[in-house]
Amino acid sequence: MADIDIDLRNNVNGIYIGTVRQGDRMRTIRIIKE
Amino acid sequence: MYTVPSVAGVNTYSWSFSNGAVINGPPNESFAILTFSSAFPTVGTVGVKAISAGCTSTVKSISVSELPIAATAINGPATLSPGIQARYSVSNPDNATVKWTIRNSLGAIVFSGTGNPISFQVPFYLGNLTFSVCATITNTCGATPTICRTVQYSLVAARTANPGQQNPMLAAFPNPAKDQVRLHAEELEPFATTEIRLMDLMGKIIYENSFNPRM
Repeated sequence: MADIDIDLRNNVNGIYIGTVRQGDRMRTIRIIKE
Repeated sequence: MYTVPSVAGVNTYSWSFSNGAVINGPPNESFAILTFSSAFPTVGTVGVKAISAGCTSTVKSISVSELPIAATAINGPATLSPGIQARYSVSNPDNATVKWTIRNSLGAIVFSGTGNPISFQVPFYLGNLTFSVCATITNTCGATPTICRTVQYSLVAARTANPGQQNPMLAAFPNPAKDQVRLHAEELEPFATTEIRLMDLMGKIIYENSFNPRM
């Protein structure tokens, strides 16, 4: 298990993509900043 | 045909050239008509020296190039997923310049540049796309025919090493987020190199971290 806090204050509003990868195992998630 | 200015008093010109070239026509004139066979190297030389009354000049030579050997196949992954560094190469025995253009199926150029191999970061797209990976080998003589390869785009990386294995779980909260977002990953393989990234829709990395989770 891992928790990562990411500061978004310097990023514009919109859609971002988060990914976690271990070799060829990968998961993506869509994140909205508003 | 190669020529040199005639020199008064010189009646013999001795031509030399790399293997694979043969002289057609009179051999000792101030001009030489050469035929180049496939044995001629991609870069060779043609030289000439003047001979008169037992004296021989220094050799005057030029470098001669031909088109490089064309590539027949593009090597690299058949499927691309967002965020990875994709690497492509072609066979280039002449070490000539390889120009690349990679477009997505919407017509946008994803990568343009020279090198062999080249690598580029795959942007994020929603939906199903393909990429056209094209390479042209060039030198000072010109360019070989461009070859292209179509590769698929997949949001989820292909799982070839352990097809029965589950992908990690990934959650984000709050989502939508304002000033901060927390990425929560589970079902990670202990001690395996783990990469967590946040990208914008152009593929620009906002955050990147690599670590090895414990049990």
